[in-house]
Parts: sequence; C-alpha cells; structure tokens
Amino acid sequence: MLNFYILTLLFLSFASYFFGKKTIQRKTTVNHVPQHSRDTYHGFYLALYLLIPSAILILIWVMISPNIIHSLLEQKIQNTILIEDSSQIGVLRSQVISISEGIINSDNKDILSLVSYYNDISQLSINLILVVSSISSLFLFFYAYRKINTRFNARTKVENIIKNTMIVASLVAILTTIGIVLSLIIETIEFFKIIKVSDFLFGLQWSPQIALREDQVANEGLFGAIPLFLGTILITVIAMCVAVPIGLLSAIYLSEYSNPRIRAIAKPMLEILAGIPTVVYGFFAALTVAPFLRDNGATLGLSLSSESALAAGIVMGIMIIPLISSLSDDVINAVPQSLREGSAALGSTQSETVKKVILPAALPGIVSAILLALSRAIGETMIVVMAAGVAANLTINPFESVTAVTVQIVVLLVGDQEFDSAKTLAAFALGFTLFIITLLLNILSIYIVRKYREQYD
Amino acid sequence: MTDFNSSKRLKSRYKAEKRFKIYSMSALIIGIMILVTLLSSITISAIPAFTQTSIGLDVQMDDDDIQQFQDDPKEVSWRSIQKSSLY
Repeated sequence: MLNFYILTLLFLSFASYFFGKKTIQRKTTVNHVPQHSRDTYHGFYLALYLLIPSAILILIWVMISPNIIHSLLEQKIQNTILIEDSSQIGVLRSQVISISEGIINSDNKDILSLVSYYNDISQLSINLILVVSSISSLFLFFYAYRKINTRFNARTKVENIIKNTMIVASLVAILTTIGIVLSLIIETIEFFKIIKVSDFLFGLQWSPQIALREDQVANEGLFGAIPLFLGTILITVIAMCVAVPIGLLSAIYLSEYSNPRIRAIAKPMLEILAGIPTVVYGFFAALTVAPFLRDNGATLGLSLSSESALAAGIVMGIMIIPLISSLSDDVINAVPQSLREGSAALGSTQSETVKKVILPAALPGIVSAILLALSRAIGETMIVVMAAGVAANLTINPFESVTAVTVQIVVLLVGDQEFDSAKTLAAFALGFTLFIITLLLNILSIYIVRKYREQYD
Repeated sequence: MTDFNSSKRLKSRYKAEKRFKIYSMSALIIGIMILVTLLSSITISAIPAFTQTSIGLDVQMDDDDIQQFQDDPKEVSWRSIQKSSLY
C-alpha cells in the first residue's frame, strides 16, 4: 500500500513538472509581461511542492511509528495478561509480531486477540500516514499552483529548496560521525566501569580470556594495553623505515631528475601499489615475505619467528609507499620554479637545491603526507591480522612475533559476543584509544600544514 | 682562487650530486621492483589454481567381470581391475 502510494507520488510529481511548465507558458502568452524565472523552474517548483511534504512526513513516520506501535502493544499486553516479570513483556511483544508476520503460529486465545489488535493499529497507522501526507501534498500543490505567474520568482524558491536539501545531506554525514564516536565512547565508559583506566593504559599483561559462565574456572583476565600498543608502534616504525626513504626519494627523482617519459610510466606504476587490496598484501606478507625472511634469517644465524614483526612491517611499508610518494610529489611540484632558478643561479648543484631549498619549502606538505601515512599504518588491519601474531608479547625485537591493537580488536569481536563482558567491551576501549591517537596525528598534520604553509610564496 | 674546476671542493660536490641522483633513482627502481615482485609472486601462486590434473587409463575387463557387471555392478571387484590396469 505504502509502496504504491510512493510510486503514485513520484509519478504525479513527474507529471506536475510538465503541468507547471504548461501553466506558465499559457500565462505568459496571455499576459505579455517579461518572465522572472524560466519555464522549467516553475515546473520544478510545482513538482517539489507536491513531493517534499509527503517525503518528510513518511520519513518521520518510518522513524517513530514502530516505537509508538510497540509501546501501545506493550500496554495492551499488560492490560490483557497479568505478568509479574517485566522482561516477559518484550518476549510476548516479539512473539505477537512474529505471529502477525506469519513466521510462527499460536492457538492461545489471548495472544490471538493481541495479534488482531496489533494488526489493527498497524493498519490504522498506515492509513493515517497516507491520508495526512496526501492531504498535505495536495494542499501545498494547490498553494504552489496558484503562485505560478509570470512575475513569480520560482527560480529563487527552487534554488532555496535545493540548498536546504544539501544542508540536510551534509548534516546526515556529520550526525553519522557523531553517532559513531558516541557509540564508541559509551561502550568505552562501560568497559572502564569494569576495568580500571590505569590498569588498561599502563598494564603490561594482555590476556583477555575471562570466565563466561559463573561456574566456569578461568583466569581473571588481564587488560593491559601496553604490549598491544608497543606491537603496533614496532610494526609502524618498521613500515615507516621502509616507506619514507623509498617514497620520498622516488618522489624527488620523479619531480626533479626524471624526464617526462619515465615519469609518465613510473608514477602510475607506483600508484598501482595503492590500488592493491590490503587482503592481497596480507597474504603476500604471510605466505611470501615471512617464509622468505625466516629462511634467510636462518642462514644468517638469526632466529626469526614466522610471524615476525619485520614481515608485517615491511609489507605495510610497501603499502604506504605510494601514499607518501604521490603526496610529496605534488608538494614538491608546487614549490615555485623561481626558487629552483635562484638556487641554480647561485651555483648550487641540483642535489643541493633539493636538500637546502626544495625540501625546506615543501616540508609542511611532506610532514603531513608522512603523518597521514602513519595514521593509515596504525589503523591498518588486514596485513597485521594475517602476518602478525595474536599472542601479546612485550618486546621491541623485530624478529619476534608481536600483536597489534587492530588484531586484538578483530580477535575480540569475531563470532557471537555478549556485550556486557569486559572481553567484548575491551575492543571498544582499544578502538577508542586508537581513534584518539590517529585523531591527534591528523590534528598535528593539519597544524603543521597551517603553520608553515606558503612560507616561500 | 680563480680555477674553480680543479678545486677539491667542487669535485666532492659533484660526487655528492651523483650519489644523490643514484640514491633517488634506486629508490624508484626498488619501488617498481617491489611492485613487479608482488604481482609476479601472486600470479605464480595463482596459476596452479587454473590447472587440473587428470589421468587417462585403459581399463581391461575380462569376460567374467563383464558377466558380473551385467548381473550386479556392485559385486564387481573394481579395485583389482584398477590395479591390473595400472601396473
């Protein structure tokens, strides 16, 4: 019924566009006055005034009507059946809804009467929204139709409506972000009600296995996040050691030394690296790089774990090379040519120009590129899940197996979870801490860019 | 003072220039080599997934077997037939 109504509405507003166009054309030929807006704007004006009130009303109805119907049903349940336990009401409610949708059956007379009550109020609410929205749409349609005239500023009105729609769209994006952060914060607060903040932030032991039933014999569960963050930092540092020199130097070569032909081939090739899915990097690290390092380490007399931090770090570094190289390439190209010419006029070689003039001039951009790559590396999940270990290990030896924050979040949230145990909530606390760290890095990079920007222009 | 070209300082500066150019060029080459290694290692590991192994075998059945096959296919000693045709 509702679908049919929406389709009709769309069709009608489509038709009223042409109707509005026809109307204004007719009035123009009669009046012989210069027109304020072109014909199409009058058509749009009419169509939007038909469509928008119904759209808004139906959206509001979709959001609030289930709640109203549910609370009405719960009241009815309390009135018909005497229930001592209040948690029973929710169970009965979903039972009634399932019966009404035909998923399950029942022959209890009380429940059947509740089902018919539920069907009645659902039908009533649909009828209500259909009547209200069609009346308001018709009303506004006639209001708009009477306004259509040669001197009427339909263009301004339509532009205003479109502008407001865009504002609402951007608000939705902002509200979603706020919602994500809020849900993270709320779960984190729940976690810190169970585990002390100082234990989490400064604890040296991570072993989140706790008893799920009351009679189960298990550990108390240790939630010290230091080993995880140390593991993440270790892998990230290795990644940056790979990515920064290669990325930066190849950006310098591409923008300062290479001829356009090489640049046209090499730059897209490096950018292919950015297009490879992280899963592919993950199994490249786990199945190619890690065994290669382990076997070669054995020949050199080093004992490498097959899930060493080194393998994960190197592959993660490879992943962020294109990020650093293409961002710094852009920044280096943006350095004014007059600086290069001035430096050459003073007799410096090309490498001296790069080191003493171009890099300082491009520094804010390069630093922000590196910080962006850093926060990408810290938040990277798939590579470390596949190539790094799971056991928390407090070490800074790159040949040993370490675990990362994102790995632990994955481990904690895979499968069915209960959301009142510290084990599950720990994932939110870890995610929140990670979010704060990357947020600070992003703020730092924005600050650096803003502070040193356009120093040489 | 006037002969700059023969001065030691200029020579070392040109050497530094050459070194820097080689460093930056090798960084680019390493980057492209990594890409090539990655793609080729994935391709090499992927190719076996597109191949299928099969063995063609001529099977010899004597008259007894054929008689039994017509009576009841389950009762034929398939294993001994398989063995005799394999070796």
